[in-house]
Amino acid sequence: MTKHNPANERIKREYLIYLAQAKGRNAATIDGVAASLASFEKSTRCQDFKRFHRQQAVAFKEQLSATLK
Amino acid sequence: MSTRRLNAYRVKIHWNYTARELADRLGVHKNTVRNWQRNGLVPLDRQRPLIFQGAVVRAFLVLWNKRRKQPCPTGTLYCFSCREPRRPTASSVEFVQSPAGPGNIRASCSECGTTMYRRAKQSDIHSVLPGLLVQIREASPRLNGRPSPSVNCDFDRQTTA
Repeated sequence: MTKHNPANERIKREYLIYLAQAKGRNAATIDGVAASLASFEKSTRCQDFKRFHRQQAVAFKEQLSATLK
Repeated sequence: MSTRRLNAYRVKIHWNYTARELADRLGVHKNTVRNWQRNGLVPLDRQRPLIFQGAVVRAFLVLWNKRRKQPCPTGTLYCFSCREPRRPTASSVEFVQSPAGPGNIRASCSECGTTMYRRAKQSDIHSVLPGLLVQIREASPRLNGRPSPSVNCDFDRQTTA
């Protein structure tokens, strides 16, 4: 079973519905957003989004640039 | 159980679905999703509305589809009446060679007598059905390979009408 955080999953679901319905984004765009959120969650080890700290974003950016190199 | 095989890859792994959304996505009834849940599909948590993770659903459906496959073991053919691989009656086994490529093994089911078929190469017959005497037969010739034309012609009927 894949590791997940139920609270995060529900927040992501709300956000993706918002992108589709309120913002009118294309399905492919929303797929990309969902994949990016999943990779961010992987970097924070599925920590609750409510405990977000800016250092998590910085670490994620560093990790992304390291993989691109 | 649905008679057709569902495409598990229509479910997006990064999406979460309610039972209704999942049913719409896969073209099945909502109760089918509830049935999957009874058979081991795990929802995200117990909070309502119940949400199913795309990755979990896909893994479940891949297993679900695989479970329905029944590869025939050695020495058996698939009987469509019994819906199980069955051993053939010993005297009934024959191999009909196609004009090109592999041929058909044809035999009667030892349980119900229904004619069963299995596709095989002539060289593989003894590995597919070891220890059985197999009669080799030539396939009936194709219509355009026959020396005399088919008598089932409606040309006369067209001219008289």
